[in-house]
Amino acid sequence: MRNQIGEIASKLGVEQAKLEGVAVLVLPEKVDSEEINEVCDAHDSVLLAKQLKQAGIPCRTAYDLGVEPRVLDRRGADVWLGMLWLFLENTALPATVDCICDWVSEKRNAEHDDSADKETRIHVELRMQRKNNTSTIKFDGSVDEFREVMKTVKKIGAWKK
Amino acid sequence: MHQREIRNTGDWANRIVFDWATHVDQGREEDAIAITIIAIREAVSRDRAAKTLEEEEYILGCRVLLNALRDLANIGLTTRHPDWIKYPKAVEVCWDLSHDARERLTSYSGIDLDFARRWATRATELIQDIDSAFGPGLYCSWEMEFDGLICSICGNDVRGCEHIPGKRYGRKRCALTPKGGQPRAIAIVENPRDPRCRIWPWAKRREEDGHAVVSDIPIFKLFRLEGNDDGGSIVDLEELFQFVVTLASQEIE
Repeated sequence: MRNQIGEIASKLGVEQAKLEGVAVLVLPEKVDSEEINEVCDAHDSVLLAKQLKQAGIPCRTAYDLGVEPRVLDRRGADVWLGMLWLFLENTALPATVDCICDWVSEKRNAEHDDSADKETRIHVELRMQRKNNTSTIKFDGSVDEFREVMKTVKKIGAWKK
Repeated sequence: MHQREIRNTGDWANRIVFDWATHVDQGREEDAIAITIIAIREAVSRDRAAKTLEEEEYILGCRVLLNALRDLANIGLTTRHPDWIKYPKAVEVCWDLSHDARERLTSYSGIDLDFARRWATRATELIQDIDSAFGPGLYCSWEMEFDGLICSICGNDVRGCEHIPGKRYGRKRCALTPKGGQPRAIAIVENPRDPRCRIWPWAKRREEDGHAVVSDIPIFKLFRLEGNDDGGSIVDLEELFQFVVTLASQEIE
């Protein structure tokens, strides 16, 4: 079986052991499929990572690990979060999920346009890691659907190992 | 009457808001605009002389509010024309001013909530009127690639510092300045971050060979909650009501 987290760690130029204790990696889009100097952090993911760190969540970004991706700013109302790599066995997972959901909801409320039926959509690739197994969800949907998905992630994280 | 809804905005601002509302109630929008422009200039002077953080925050709130009042009075002045919706320039100006006013009234927590809500609703209604007349519309939305985002507090890349964008640190608010940007794409979207970048039906024309060309569309518009130091201006009605368009023949396909 491919060890995807090991591959990403190697691509970022860090040992996998350095990711121990991390609850979530906030990574650039397409970080596993493109050259590392070609990838970009989504602007929203930069802000999300700041929020996670402020809340005391053990969170790392590519920048924290020594890579300096360019930042891609899209002037649409949608939220682009790049790749979120969640470590299901980390005890901070529930708090991490709650923090992500709160941030997304706040962002939606801040930009919600009462005058039109325009829905903020979330674009993110979720990777869920348990030991050496990785599952992937590519998500493009509404804030409410995203919250439901994240609720499920939290439940999966709580399953007995 | 508008006056009854104004409270808790502070002594100096409260007096100006009261005068503004009196002028607006009596259909004297020009006077209402004039007093807000003068007051904004006074606020700029007060800001320069401010000695404490509280004073600065109060003046910032006043500036945001006064700019919103000027926007609303300019909208009132423009929509006084019974056929304003038939004039492209008037529609564009009302659209932008409505979004400016609404953003100012709803983004800054220092403004009395009931007052802000009432006038933000007025701006929203105008936006809905324009949407009813022209449809939900399409908008320009650009994508930019930056080398980094610089924190205004410490000067480092924001990804590596502890400051939170939008939060105040002492007398400075943390803001992001992009470093080394280059455009990656311009998209036409239905749900933009900035609705001011709307593509209006009159931006389209038909070439002789049958192709449709859209020109003079806004890609990016600068907007500051606290407005400019000169206090802004009164709308030029002569310019706004110069041309009428027959919309049925100009719709974007």
